[in-house]
Amino acid sequence: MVRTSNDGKRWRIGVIDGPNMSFIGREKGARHHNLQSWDELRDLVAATGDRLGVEILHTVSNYEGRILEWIHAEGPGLDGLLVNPGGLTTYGEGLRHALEENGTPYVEVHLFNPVQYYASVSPHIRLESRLTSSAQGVVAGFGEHGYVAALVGLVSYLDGFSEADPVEETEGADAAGHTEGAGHAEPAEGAGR
Amino acid sequence: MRNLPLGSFRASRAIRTIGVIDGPNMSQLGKRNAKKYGTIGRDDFNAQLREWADGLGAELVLLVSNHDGEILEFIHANADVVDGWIVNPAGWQIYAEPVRHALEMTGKPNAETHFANTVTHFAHAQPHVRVESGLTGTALSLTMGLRQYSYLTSLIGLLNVIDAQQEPASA
Repeated sequence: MVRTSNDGKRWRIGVIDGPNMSFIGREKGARHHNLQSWDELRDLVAATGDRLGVEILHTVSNYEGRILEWIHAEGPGLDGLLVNPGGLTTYGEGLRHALEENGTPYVEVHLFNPVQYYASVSPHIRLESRLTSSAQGVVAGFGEHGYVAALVGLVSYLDGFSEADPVEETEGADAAGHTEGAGHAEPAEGAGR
Repeated sequence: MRNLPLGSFRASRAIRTIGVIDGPNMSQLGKRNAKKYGTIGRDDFNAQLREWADGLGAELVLLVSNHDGEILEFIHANADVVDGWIVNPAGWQIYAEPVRHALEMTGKPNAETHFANTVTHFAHAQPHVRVESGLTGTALSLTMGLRQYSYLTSLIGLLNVIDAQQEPASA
């Protein structure tokens, strides 16, 4: 592990992999990654968390209900999340709602570029993610490297924009004429410090 | 400040050249809506980009421009110089066909990158009509919402993908 004397806050980052992510490495046909198994992905994420000095809680499930209950149980103790919704991406309102209710910023992660992917698998019906409107951000199309990249980006974002260092408004209103409150990416109450 | 072990996020040591393009209104960083863009100024951000690139083993060719033709000609001129692109089309995002086409013609992967979550941005800025990016269809990737750190994310992702393409054995 690479640690220095000023290695930053040990954020608690949840990582959720949704339906069919447990099968990666065994799929026939198109693949959007270079992994042999989900275990490899888990190890890659864990190693990145170690290098960053943050705690990772990583879950994978093919059952939306189990994912929801994981968010209910673990969510309040997290400072941020990576969420690859897998097969839930285009219709997972329950997942989006649970994440929104939890309130902790999440980055939506995909191995593929969703615009390209859904255009190819669903040329007859427009499909898109239900998760993006409540997400802090999206990291998609880098294969498994997106998890590494998203973790570094999310941790840097938490370091730079956490509750301890609220963003002051330089302009009063956004385009819609509403004044938005200062402060962003506030860690949930009870999160480990 | 957290010390990021940037070299550990990429297996290859090969130096890559990345073209970075910030489009219309990105020259005004530091003077824009702080909630979407934070408070980092343009010059500081340019320096930060080079610092990240140094740590990851990349050289940057950077353009910040409010001019459509200038962006296209920059892409044409650097098509053979770069290994990949990080592009924030900014104000050009919705009708981006000239930029999308120019990037596609270079044959090099481009990582579409934004400070803000553009889905929520457009839901508020243009609630009366559905708008979205014209770039993503032929981009390698989409990174958005982490403010300036979106570019760090894109650098790490893009470099790893370029490494896998150019050195499959090291992937």
